[in-house]
Amino acid sequence: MDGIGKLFSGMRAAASGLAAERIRIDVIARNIANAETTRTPEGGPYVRQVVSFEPLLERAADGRAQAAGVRVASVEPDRSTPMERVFDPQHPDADAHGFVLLPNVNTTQEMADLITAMRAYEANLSVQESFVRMAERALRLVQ
Amino acid sequence: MIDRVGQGGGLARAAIEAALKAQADAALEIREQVARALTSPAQEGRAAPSFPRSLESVLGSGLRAADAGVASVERLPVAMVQGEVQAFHEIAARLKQAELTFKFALEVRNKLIDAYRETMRMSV
Amino acid sequence: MSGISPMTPMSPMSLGGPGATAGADLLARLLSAASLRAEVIANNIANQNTPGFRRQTVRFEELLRGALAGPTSAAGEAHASAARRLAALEPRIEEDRLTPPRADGNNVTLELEMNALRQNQLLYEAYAAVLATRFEVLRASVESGR
Repeated sequence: MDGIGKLFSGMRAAASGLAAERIRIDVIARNIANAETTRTPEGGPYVRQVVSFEPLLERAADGRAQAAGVRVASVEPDRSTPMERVFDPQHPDADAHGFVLLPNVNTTQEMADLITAMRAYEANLSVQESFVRMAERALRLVQ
Repeated sequence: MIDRVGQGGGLARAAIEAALKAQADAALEIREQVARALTSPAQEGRAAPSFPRSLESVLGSGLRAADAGVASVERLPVAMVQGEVQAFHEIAARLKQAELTFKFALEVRNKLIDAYRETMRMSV
Repeated sequence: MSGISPMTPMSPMSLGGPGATAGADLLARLLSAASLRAEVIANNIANQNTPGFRRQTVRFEELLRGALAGPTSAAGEAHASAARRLAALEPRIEEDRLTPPRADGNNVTLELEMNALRQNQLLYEAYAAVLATRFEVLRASVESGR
């Protein structure tokens, strides 16, 4: 970023971290909330959603790519983790053979991921506060 | 200014000029100290810049410095918007530099005015 | 992987060098290096959960120490070239290849990174304190006539 934005590139990187982790937290919350959903509006059980991150790059004035934090590359259904197949003929969503397809959500794993994401969120917040403090210290030099 | 002090008062004129020169010398000494302090130790080997010693040039250079200081402060927001400023401590440093330059010029001016008043009190 | 490019160090004029020379004032460069390091740490922390991401560090103080340990006696040409090397020294952004990555290829450890953040902030504030004192000395010498 050019112009006055140069002063804030560190804060922008932290902001990108906040935004990305926030999306991840929301997705995890949705997974946990839908861990038992056997019937979605689209039909079929809820499929676990996965967030994928990638480094965020900005183009500097000289054309070079500069690291500027992180971005969410995609929010996609997790097709690699198999759905859970449980025998429960009484279940309203049981198939002809009496099996129910449950979401491929492992609540324990989701909770662990949630903690990781929240710690990351807090850390990015600390980074922003750090930049503000440094700027304030620098500007106090003028007094 | 000096010409209005007295007709044919050659002695008075010499006294005034001597007093003004003493004050100007003191001001120059301060300025050289400031210049030395502001440059990094690695530059010590350099020859100290030679300053002009006449009254008008001291006053003139002081005014120019004050002017440049004020101008650089005014130019700072534009420099910031254009991305020439990379960090907050740079802003602080530029502002402080301008402030000190201006204050110094002010001091020189005040000293010279004091010197003039001092010599005006002498009987011609 | 492209990282952060170093900022241009401040010119001597911006820290008050009436006779601008080659090589910026040392304190200015230290402050700039600490600023750059803060940005690199911020990028590390933002990417703490990015698969395949390797953390980066900024080296300057150690490089300075090495350059300052050059020929101390004014032995003519050796001294001049050491001074030139010192003046040309830039902060270096390096990728951390020592810390082993986790399963997702990321080698950022949050605790270490937060420590680096706080440490660097204190360093910045220390340099700022030196600069503040320098300004105070200048201000006092300019206003001493009162």
